[in-house]
Amino acid sequence: MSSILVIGKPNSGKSLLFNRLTGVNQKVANFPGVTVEIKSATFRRHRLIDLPGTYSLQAITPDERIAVEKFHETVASNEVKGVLCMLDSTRLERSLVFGLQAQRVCQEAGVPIMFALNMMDDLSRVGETVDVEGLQQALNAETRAISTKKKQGLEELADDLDDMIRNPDRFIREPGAGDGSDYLERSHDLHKRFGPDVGAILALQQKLDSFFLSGTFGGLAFVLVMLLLFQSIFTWATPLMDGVEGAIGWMATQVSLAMNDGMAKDFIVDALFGGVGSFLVFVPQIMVLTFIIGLLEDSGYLARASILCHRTLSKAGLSGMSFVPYLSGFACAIPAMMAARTIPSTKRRLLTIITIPLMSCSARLPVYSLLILVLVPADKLLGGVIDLRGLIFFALYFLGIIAALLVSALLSKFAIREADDAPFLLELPPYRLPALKPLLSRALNAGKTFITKAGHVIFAITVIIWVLGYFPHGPGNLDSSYLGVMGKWIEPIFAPIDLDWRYGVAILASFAAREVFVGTLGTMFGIDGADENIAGLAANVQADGLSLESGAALLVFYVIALQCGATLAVMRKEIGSSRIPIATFVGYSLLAYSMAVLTYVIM
Amino acid sequence: MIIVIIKIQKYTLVSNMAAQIQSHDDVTLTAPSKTMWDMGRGEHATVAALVEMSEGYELRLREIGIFVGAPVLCVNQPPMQAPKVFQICDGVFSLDRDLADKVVLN
Repeated sequence: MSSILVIGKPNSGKSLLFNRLTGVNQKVANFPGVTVEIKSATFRRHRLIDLPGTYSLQAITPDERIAVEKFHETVASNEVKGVLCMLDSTRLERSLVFGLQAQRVCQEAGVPIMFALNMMDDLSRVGETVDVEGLQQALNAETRAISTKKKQGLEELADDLDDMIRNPDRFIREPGAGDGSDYLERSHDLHKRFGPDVGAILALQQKLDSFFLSGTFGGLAFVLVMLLLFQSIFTWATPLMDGVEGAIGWMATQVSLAMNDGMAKDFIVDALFGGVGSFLVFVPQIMVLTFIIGLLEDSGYLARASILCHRTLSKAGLSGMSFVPYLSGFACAIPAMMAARTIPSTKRRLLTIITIPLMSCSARLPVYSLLILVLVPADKLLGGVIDLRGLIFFALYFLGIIAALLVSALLSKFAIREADDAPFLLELPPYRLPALKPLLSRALNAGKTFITKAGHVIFAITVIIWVLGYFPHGPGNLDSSYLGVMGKWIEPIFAPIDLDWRYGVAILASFAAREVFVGTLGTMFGIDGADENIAGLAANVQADGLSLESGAALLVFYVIALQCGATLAVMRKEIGSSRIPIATFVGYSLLAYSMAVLTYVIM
Repeated sequence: MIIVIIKIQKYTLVSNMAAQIQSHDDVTLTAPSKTMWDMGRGEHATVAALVEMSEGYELRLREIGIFVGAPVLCVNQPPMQAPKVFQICDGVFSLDRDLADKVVLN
């Protein structure tokens, strides 16, 4: 199978083109540096390889180094049969700086290369265009105008790529005179002769930036956007969650009525509906969170938010470039840590990676939601504009952020003291109206992934918990079951925050996956005879008498504790050390426990 | 008093930069110059030199359009000493003080 490399400057649409041609669904966003690893997939019997974007063959960040090394390696070894270089037509000169360098390397290696001029729809919207024919002749390379967003020119481009593999001689050109070091002058000249009017393209962007980056409204807009993010997780998701809870409750009731009393019925009702079902109720929140983050990513606002946050984050030893990984951490820590590859400073990247687990990821959502439902009344504030539960939600996320900044500041001052010499340099992408379909698709995928990845672990642990809690004395005898006996051994650990052994078992089980906490509690309450309210775990916990102080302590514990083996594995890979992930796990566990006890005492 | 001291230090720093530039072959300055960080919103300027910068970043700045003789426009000055925003050729970039202070202007 022949391979085709897709290269180009960051945010030029490589990944979206990759998705369109191959049918896979890798992440795209309107922020430079979204793709941080090499992805490949099949396209018309060829292998298409998507590289992270880079401004130049002189790399200065880890993700750029990945792209440049792979590019040189594959071109030199003739591993690829063709190269497609994406050019952003709205940033033609910047795109050509890298494009001309890449073209030179390909020409010297005898590898065919062609160009795709993307985002032509954005140009035509402002009445501008590129002289594609003229540019093609001047570049002495096949150049195709496309729009990956509007799916224009993609069939023709696909045919060109096919042609490039079958008839490479048509695409291979001799290197021109000179050593190719004049790419800066050439790109400027080509843009001047064939490119669009920059003023027309940047006019709207500058108008919007004068608002979003202004002294008066910029900071306010940022706070409102973040508040909207966290409020919407509660307000928009609640009707969907009620629907899921009602459906699970109805199904459980039907099964309960249809089956004879016995172990099978107890297993299905307590373990499946009580355990696994309890966790499924929170899937809509994951989807809403993914949707809103995707909206922010695709709009182009995130680069502006990075600028506004830079000074605050710098005081904690971080960078404005840490903002996007942190925001990704609200969905999942794993891609968030990989996103930190765009940070050029080694020290700031390390601090970002170590503190990302303190961002409240989607796995914590079920735990937060359950406890907030139990402890916080459904009140509205400020004339019904703000939901109290949504505000507490925001407060928990904010607590995680503050904890991350404090930990980073302390590590920066006392533990990681290398001098930092990588300044802040960020390209601002144009504002774009996000497309609804890809956002909905991403939200649905997030829900699916959440169920499939966590679902196996939750199911396995739920079954184990049910078996240990059911035997030897059957339903309604949880206290004297095997689980009860084991649980009472560990009860003293959580006695300082007045949590009985059931919560202790749920907390320890959740070190396998945080979502397991909800499923485990659901199973135990089910076994204990709470089957008048099968799907209403929150109501069961409330009736059981969980105190405000204990609940608050539990929330603080979950904000800080690092309970994800996959996160530790990726941390080890990104940092290249086992000591730091181990130290991070132990440190955060001790910190979480201490802060939980302190919260209980203070309250 | 403190403000005066800071201003004197900045003047001295820029003067030293000007002295370095005066030894550069293709640029001659006769008065202390300001840097990109000193630009206000809406202000145009031309790059005179890149000083005290690592080779990697000097090349990267050249590649994004910041080189001797290049025009720059300060398009935004976000609050709280946040990195400023500049239009450079066909791109819009944000540079923090550490970097912008090393780009001396005519």
